[in-house]
Amino acid sequence: MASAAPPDVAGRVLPGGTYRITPEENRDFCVSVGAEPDPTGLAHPLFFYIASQCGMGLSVAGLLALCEFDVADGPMMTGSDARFTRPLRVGKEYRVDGEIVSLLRKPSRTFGMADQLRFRLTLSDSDGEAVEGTSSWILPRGGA
Amino acid sequence: MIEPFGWTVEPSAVSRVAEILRDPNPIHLDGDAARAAGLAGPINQGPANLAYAVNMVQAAFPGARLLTIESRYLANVLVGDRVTVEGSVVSQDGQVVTCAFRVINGAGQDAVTGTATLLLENESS
Repeated sequence: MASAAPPDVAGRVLPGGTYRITPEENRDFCVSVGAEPDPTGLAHPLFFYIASQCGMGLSVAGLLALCEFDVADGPMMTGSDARFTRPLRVGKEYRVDGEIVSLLRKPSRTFGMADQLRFRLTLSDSDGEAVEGTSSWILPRGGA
Repeated sequence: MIEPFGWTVEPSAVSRVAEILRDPNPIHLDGDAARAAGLAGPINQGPANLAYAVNMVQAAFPGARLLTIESRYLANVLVGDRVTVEGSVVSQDGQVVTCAFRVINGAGQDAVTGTATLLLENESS
């Protein structure tokens, strides 16, 4: 059973890293979701999510471990927002930075108790920030 | 109303997206594992579901630049589902258009809803 309060992780900076959108992965992602790869070299916009998740320096399981939550216990993504300063480009290397925004424990009609996790990730290149994204997850805690 | 987007979620596509996401979670790939997790079967990845919505709005406004996308995940899309995305323009302020969308799973439920804003004037990046 979880304690009454979630771990104090708001503001925790994630390790971060780099991510390069390869032509092969952009092509395969486009094909897999029914999109035509852009002939001018723009990446599918969903690489904002892929690049930030793959380059944040932690696996999803590792991120959830910071929240003292086991990925096997059924986390669910509930939302994601992104703001593009400019399009993402194939072949370009992006710096990924991120932090946990909040982790709040609240009663849940479905789960008894659940933690609401929000974390923010940015992708930047030599010209500055290209995309800022925020993801929200719910972490069921049962009878915490 | 924007021209809807339709797509059938094939297992091979889900497997490749799992590789690209570096996400080997078996609930996307293994029927037994998915059912053990209380799901009806393997489920599609959330980012793929959102990608269908992006495809629809980009097809509606060729050459436009995506500025923002806000999404809420409400239900799963099962592997094998025929997904439909519906949308409409909810506002336009100059060259900035805001569209609402809903990604509908094979059971007819809203799997993802949200809004996207696009800049109609194509700018070099």
